[in-house]
Amino acid sequence: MVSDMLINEEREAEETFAKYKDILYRIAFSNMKNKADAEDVVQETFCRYLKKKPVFEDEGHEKNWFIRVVINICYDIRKSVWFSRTVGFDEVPESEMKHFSLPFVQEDDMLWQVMELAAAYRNPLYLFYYEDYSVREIAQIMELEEGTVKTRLRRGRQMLKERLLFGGEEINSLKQKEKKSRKRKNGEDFTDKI
Amino acid sequence: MQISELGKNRSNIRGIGDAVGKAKQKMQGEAVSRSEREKVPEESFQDSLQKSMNMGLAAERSGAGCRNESEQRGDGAGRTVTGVISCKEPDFGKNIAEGAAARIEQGREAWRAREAEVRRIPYSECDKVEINVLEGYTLKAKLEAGEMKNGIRSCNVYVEMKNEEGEIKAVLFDGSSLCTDSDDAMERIAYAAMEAERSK
Repeated sequence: MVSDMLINEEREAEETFAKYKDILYRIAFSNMKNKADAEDVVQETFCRYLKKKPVFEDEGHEKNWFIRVVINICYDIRKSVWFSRTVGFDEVPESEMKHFSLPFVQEDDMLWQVMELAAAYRNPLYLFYYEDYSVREIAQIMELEEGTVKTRLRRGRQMLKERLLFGGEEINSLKQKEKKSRKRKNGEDFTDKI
Repeated sequence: MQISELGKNRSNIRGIGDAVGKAKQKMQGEAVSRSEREKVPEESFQDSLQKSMNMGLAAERSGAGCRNESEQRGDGAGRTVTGVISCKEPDFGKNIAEGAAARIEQGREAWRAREAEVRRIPYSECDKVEINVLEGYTLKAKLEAGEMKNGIRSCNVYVEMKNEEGEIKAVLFDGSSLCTDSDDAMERIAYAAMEAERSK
């Protein structure tokens, strides 16, 4: 009887893993920019799922929970002292690009440009354009107001345009300026918050 | 009649004789221009016909779109006119007649694109997906079977466009009358989806 329950649980977990592993890996990769870290994030997400065993209202709720956890784990790792002392890619290394593919969309250079943005803009842009999420869904996942998501989409797009027009240096200086002004206001670093 | 009218405007006319003279001149002028008009015989008729044809084509291109696939192939199976042709050419009128016949056949059901209900199809179900982050939109195209036309099932292309605000617009295109070089991004992806399917 107990063994049957365990088998059922195991099967359910396997099914859930199979259902979400691809999208979670893609979101993790867009944040971590390398395969190894992305896989670690996905693994950690499922560990949390198995430990917590959350109850979901529907499939959408379940999916949103997984994505939110992935983004939060990525954020935690990137903010960690270890990560900042070892590797912190802003760009996706060319050697890692082959480990990322979108199933139904043709990849273009813009995808890698999106990945270089700060997390506050990267995640909404990535989810909106490359995973086809609606503004409302992104707002639910990221626990933001819909208006904030729209603003971040607009600003993110603007930043991409500027990046293409002026190149990386200008953007970096803009980023630093923004960081300084945010620090002055809030006493914290905003740019890598989700 | 004219004389009396002219006579009323005394400030412009020196005398009644002058007025009569001017009226005569005017009438003569009219007569001359009328005779001149009559002199230009079939050519002007052809010209005006050509003009009206061209205007019709222009309207069709701007409003209903450009030439469709079958028109480009020149097999006449498609919707209407094959392009601007000179009225002196032997085929003059033939294509127009064919086009008109085709139009009558299609009757009121003739359409190129119409707004459709938004279905929110996922990327996985699309035949073609285009993402334009810089312009702030995504496009999804899906081919589907249309209605029967002359015993052949037509192909429609369902296209969805999501803008930066997250608003979605859906349009259903008639696959047989898609424009190759349309300015409309939705029509372009519809055509690309059709081409991709054809090349399979």
